[in-house]
Amino acid sequence: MTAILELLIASFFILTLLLIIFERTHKTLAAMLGAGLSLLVAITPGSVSNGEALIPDIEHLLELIEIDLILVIIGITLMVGVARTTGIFDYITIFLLKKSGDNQYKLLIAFSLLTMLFSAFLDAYMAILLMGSITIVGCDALDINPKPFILAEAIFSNLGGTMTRIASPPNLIIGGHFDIDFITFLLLTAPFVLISAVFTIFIWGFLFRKDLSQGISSLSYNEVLLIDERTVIQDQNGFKIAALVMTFTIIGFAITSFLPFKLELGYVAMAGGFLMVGLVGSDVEKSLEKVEWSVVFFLIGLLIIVGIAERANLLDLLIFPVEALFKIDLLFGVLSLQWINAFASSALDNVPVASVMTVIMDSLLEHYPTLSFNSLLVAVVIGTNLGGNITPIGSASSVQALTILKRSDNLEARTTFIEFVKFGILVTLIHLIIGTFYLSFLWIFRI
Amino acid sequence: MVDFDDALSRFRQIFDQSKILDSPDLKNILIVLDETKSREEFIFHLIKQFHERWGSKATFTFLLAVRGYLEQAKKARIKLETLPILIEKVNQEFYGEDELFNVAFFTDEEKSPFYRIEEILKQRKIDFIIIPVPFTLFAFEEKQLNTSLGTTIDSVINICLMENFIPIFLVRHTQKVPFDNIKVLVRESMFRRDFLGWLFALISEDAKVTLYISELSENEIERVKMYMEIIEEKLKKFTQDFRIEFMDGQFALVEFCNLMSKEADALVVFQALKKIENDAQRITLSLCNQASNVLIFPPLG
Repeated sequence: MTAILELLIASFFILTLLLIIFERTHKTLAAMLGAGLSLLVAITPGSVSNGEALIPDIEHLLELIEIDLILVIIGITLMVGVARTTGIFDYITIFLLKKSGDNQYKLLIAFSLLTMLFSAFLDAYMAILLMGSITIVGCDALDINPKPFILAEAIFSNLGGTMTRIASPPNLIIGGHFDIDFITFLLLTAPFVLISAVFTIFIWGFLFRKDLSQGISSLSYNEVLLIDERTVIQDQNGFKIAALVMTFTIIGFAITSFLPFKLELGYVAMAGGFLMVGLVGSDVEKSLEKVEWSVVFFLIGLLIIVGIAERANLLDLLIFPVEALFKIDLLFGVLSLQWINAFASSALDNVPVASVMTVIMDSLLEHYPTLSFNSLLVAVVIGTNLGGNITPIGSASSVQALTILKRSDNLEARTTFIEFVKFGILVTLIHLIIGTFYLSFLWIFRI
Repeated sequence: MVDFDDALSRFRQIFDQSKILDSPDLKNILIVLDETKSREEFIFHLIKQFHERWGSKATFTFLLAVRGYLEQAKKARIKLETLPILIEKVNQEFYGEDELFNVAFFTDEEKSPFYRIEEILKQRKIDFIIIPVPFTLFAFEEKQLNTSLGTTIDSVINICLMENFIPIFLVRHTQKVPFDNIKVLVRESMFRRDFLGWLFALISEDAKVTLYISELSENEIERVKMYMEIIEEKLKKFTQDFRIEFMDGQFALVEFCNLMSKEADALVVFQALKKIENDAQRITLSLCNQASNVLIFPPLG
C-alpha cells in the first residue's frame, strides 16, 4: 500500500515538473494541480510505512509552506504595485533618462544599474516591465536601437535578483529555509554581483560597440530634456509617502539582521505593503490586484509537492549523484553545484530547482560537517539565479525582454531565440567563471 | 504583457505631451467679420497664409456678426456689404480651393455677436478664432471703455480663450503677411508644444522673433531657452535668415504690452495663464493700451 502511494506521489512530482518545463499549461495551474493530487495521497493513512498519513494534519501541511516567503511576496508586490500608481518609478526612470541620455554608454550603465537595484530591493517583474517600457519609448525619442539596453536589462535584472534575500523566489526559498538574515545574505552575494556587473558592462560595451558608439543628436536629446518628469506624479503627497514607506521597508529588512530578537522579513514586508495601501491606495480592490497572486500560488503549490516528495524520501535519488561530486573534493563539489544549478535553471524554472536544492543542501550539510555553508549557499544562489540568462525561457525577465524586443517597431531591435542564447551563454559563462573564483575565495579564506 | 502595454502607453503619452509639433492640429477655424474692409482684406491674407504653410484641410467658418447692427449702420450712413457680395469675394479669393476651404456662413440678424459665436461653438468644435478689435465700427453698442475691449471681445477672451481653451487672433489693423517682426512674451516654461507650427505659419524668411520672459525661475528660463534652441534649429531648415533673440530682464504682461504700444508693426504673441486668478481681466486691461495685432494662446489645460 505504502509503495503504491509513494509511486503515485513520485508520478505527480514528475508530471508537475514536466508540465512546468514544457509549459503545456500555466505553471501555477500545474503546481496547484500537482499539489492537490499529492496532498490527496499524503493525507491517506498508510502513506508512510508505520500506517500513518504523510501529512496527518494542517500543522504538518503549514510546515511545508514557508509562510514567511509567502508574506514577503505578498507584502512587496502590494507595496510596489500601489507605489507605482503614484508615478514614483516613472519619475525616477525619466529623471535618469534625462541625466544620461546624451551618451549611449552612459545610458546603458544608468539603465542597467537601475534595473539591478529595482530587482534587488523591490520587484524583478516590475523592474523589467518598467525599464523595458521606458527604454522602448526613450530609445525611440533618442532615435537609437533599444536592443543592447533591453538585453542588458534582462541580464541585470537576474544579477539584481541574486543580490538580496528578497529579490527572487529562489533566494526567498533558500534564505527562508536556512533562516539567513538580510544583511548576511547581502554581504555574501553583493561583492560577486558588483564584480559581475562591472564585467558585464564592459562586455556589453564591446559586443554592441557598433550600436552604442553612435552619437545621439543634440536635437533629439534636447527634446527629451524638455520632458517634465513632474507631470507623471499623480499625487504629490502619495508620491512622498510612497518614497518614505519603501525606504523604511528596505531599512526595516536590514535592521532585522541586528535585532536581539527574531523578526521575520515577511513581517516587515507585510507592514510595508499594508502601510502603503492604507496611506496611498485609494481603491482597496485595485490595490489587492497588485499582488502577484499567480506567483504566490505557484510557490505554495510547488513547496507542497517538493515537501511531500521529500517526506516520502523520493528526492534521495537526486541527492546521491550530487553527493558523489562532494566525495571527490568538497570545493570541487561546491563549484560543480554552481554550474549544475545554472544549467538546470536555464532549462527548468529556477523555483523548483531552488526548492529541490534546499533538500540536497540539508543532506550535504548533514553528511559533510566541514562543508562551508556560505560557499554552498552562494554557489546555489548564483547558479539558480543566473542560469536563467542562458536561454530566453530561463527566467521571467528574459522572457519579458525577448517579448518586448519581438514586438518592437524598430526592425533592428528584433531578436531571435538563437541570438539571445548566443549573448546569454557568453555572459553566463563569464558570470559563472567569476563565480568560480569568488567561491574559491570564500572557501580559501573560510568566509 | 498587459502591464507592459499599460506602462508603454503611459510613457508614450508623457513623451508625446512634450514632443515639439510641426503644425497645430486645427480643423475648424472661426473667422468673425465686422465688415471693416481693410481688416477683412488682411484676414483673408492671413487665412491664405495659414493654409499655404500648414497645408491643412481646415474648415473655415465665417460669421458676419454685425448684421444685428444694420439699423444703426443705416442711421450712421455706413454701407454694409451684403451677404451675396461677401460670398462672391470669398469664392474669388479662394478660387479653386473649394475642397480645401469648406466655407460655411453664419449671419447674425437679431442676436448679439457673441451669442452667435457661442451658438457656433456649441455646433462645432472650433480650434482657432480670428476676430477684429475693436469689434464693429459701432463702439457705442459694444460699450467699449478704457478698461474694456468691447463686450464681444471681452467675452471672447473670457469664454473662448479662458474656458474653451481656443487660441484667438485679435486683428487691430492691416499688416504685411507673413510677419517679419514677432514679439513673444513667455509666461510659462511649459510653452505650447505646437509653437513651432505657429511660427512656421506666421514668419517671413527673414523674420526676427524677440522673446520677453515673464516672471520665471532660473530653471524655467533654462527650459525655455532649450525649447527655443530646438525651434530655431528646426526652423533653420526652412530659412537661414530667421533669428530668435532674448530680451534681458523679466516683464509682466502689462509692462510688455506697454512696450508693445510703440510697436504697432509687430505681431504680439503670449499665452493666457490659468494659475493667475483674473488673467482674462489682466489681458483685457493690458491690451487696451496697445495697437498691435495679437495672437493669444489659451492656458494649458
